[in-house]
Amino acid sequence: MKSYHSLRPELHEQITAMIRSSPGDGVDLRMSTEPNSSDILFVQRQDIELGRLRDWQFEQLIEVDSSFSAANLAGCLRVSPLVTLRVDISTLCAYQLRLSKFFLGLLTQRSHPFSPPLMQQFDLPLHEAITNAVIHGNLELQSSFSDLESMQRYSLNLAERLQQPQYANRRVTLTAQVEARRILVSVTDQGPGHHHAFPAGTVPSQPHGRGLLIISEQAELVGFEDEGRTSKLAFHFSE
Amino acid sequence: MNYTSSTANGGLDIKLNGEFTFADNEQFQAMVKGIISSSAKSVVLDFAALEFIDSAALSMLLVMKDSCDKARKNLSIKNSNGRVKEVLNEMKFAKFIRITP
Repeated sequence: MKSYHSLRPELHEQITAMIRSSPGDGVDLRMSTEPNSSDILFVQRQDIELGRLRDWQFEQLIEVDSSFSAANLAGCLRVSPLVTLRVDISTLCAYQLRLSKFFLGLLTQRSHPFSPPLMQQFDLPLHEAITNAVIHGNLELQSSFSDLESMQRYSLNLAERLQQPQYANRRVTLTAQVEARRILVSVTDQGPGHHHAFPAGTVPSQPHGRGLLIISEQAELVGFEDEGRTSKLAFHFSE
Repeated sequence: MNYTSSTANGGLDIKLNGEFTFADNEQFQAMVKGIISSSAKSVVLDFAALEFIDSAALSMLLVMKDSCDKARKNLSIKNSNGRVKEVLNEMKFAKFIRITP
């Protein structure tokens, strides 16, 4: 059985009600009496800020919004014991936050053995993988602007999708598995899948298509799973 | 990302600072429109204080280049450093926009 705590009493009530209403979904959670590092921490969007979370211990950070369901809750309990950190948030929150910096910041707060320069090195490829998950996965947008007019259209489409619950309520999930000489990070979206295409190995001449190139240049792209909804990156370090 | 612009010798000098991602697209569009409507024949983006740039921001820079080409203005980038410089080099960005030290 996993234990949880939350930053807000109303979240505790919401989670308790969800557990009671879904006895057949395998949701087996209890509230922590003493918060510990293997807990699930339930938060709202406004709580997701590094400084605010510095003193909290948790293994999973879960944003609870109006779309959060018992199925999401059950997902928290199927996490591999090898996972050091898991963050599960809405698309809207992932778009508004610099999620890679935040996620690496959480790992650093947990005293994992990498320095600020290494964190900087990991930041961009992870950011690009998250952008793929948010933009091409959950929001189902193609990056195809080539001039100011098409960029304005793209920007409007993006803003519209972020207002549409069928896209904006989809989740983005990050997990980190810290090993002796590498960190394995997975980024998962809930889009239709197959939105990744490997670059041909040369710099594209068109304005888009550099995200995956950056990932493959600056990290080890381990591969894709779940029809492309999950991308796995490895970051190697020696210190 | 924040930016300040000034004119010098008939050209525009735009200093960018902070992190440049697609989240900055609205102010970036305003920046491009400001460049196009100005009488400046040359535009220099000063990246000295830019700390982070992603692929979407690179795409936006190519949109700026396209707008400058159409308006017959010269666009260049100067003073990039650290991770931003590495990304521009890795993406061979000098093929598209003139980069000076």
